[in-house]
Amino acid sequence: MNRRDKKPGKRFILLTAAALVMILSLSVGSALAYFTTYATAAGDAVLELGFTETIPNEVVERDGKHITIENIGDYACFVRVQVFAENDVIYHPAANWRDGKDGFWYYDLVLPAGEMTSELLAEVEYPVNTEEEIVPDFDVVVVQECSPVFYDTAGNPIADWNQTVINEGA
Amino acid sequence: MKKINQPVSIKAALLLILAAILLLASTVGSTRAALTYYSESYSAQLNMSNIGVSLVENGEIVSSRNYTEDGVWDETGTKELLSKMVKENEKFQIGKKYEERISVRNTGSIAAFVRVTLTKSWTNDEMKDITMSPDLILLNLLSQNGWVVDTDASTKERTVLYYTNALEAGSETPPISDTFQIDPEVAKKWKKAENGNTISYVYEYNGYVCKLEAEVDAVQTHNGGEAIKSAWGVDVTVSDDESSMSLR
Repeated sequence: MNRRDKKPGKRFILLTAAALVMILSLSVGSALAYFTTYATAAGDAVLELGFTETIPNEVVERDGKHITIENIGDYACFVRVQVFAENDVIYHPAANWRDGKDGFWYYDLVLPAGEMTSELLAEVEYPVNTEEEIVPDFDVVVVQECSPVFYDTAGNPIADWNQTVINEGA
Repeated sequence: MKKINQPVSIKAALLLILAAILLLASTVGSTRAALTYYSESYSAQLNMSNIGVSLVENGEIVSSRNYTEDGVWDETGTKELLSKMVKENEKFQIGKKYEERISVRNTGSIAAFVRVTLTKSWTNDEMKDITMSPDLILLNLLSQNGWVVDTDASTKERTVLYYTNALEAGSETPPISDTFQIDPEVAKKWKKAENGNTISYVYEYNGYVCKLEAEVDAVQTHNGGEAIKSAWGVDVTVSDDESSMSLR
């Protein structure tokens, strides 16, 4: 039989395969040798969304109604005030009160939970009965509203008076 | 003719042994070559090539994983993000921009290429809520500072960023982001409720939790292209001096 036609034996095949595995193992070894590492971190924040509660403090004195607004809730807010009376009202605002020219007086600062605004004095001309010079009973109604604190795209705190909580006093 | 199972010839066995010796010799060749350069006139300090990387939030390391000279991985840090975002006695405000500068520091002893994967998600009642878009979590990413977004690998929930420069040992990347914010639109989802002369609103997403995760991966710069392909499965082009890389 011609020697060239002889098929390779099992042992030859096994030894050849072993040699191939050894060669391949060299490349596998280099792949595992790369230096790598990693680090991870995670965190979260809870959305605590809610409306606060504010109450008007009104002290009536001879010179008018001394108004402050107190935030008795859990969330910061903006507040504004409107006063209704039979006669004209003259306002004497302390710091940070601003006439919105829309019937409301706005407190420009964020009112944190548990804090109170500065004073807004609403001076009302007393209606006088000239014949008897007696001051009759009359109403000065204070309406105060609060808005949640929102933020514009620049991150500045703003109010949205379409979302208000309204409380009326008298 | 019946085949006889003969043992392997001596010639074949010798050749196989010779091949094995040659293979082994190839692995020690570099060691021998290095030894021939040794001179008694000089001493050399051998530094271990230790890779290490850290996540940095607002200037503070929050998570590290460094290979030490003792041959162990040293993992340190709180691994917490956003933990100092809201001041004590304050509530997390919707729409407010909070400082969130995330960067990467090389805390190893060799240069490395790094990438960061950021993941944003919502949970409600401890269950992941996939109906609320991760886009409502606004992490403002910075550009033109060496970081590039792999748009092919990124989704609404996941953003993959590569730092295109090699990060030298001890150095830190520019920040990936600068602010963290919840889209103010979230606070506009409410329902009206009336109680006497008091009108109030109930927020739809009250109690929801926004989550931010970050992972940094680092790989050696030496033979960087193949190393990144092997470690991350990504094709990149590394400059000849291995100082920068770009996505293909």
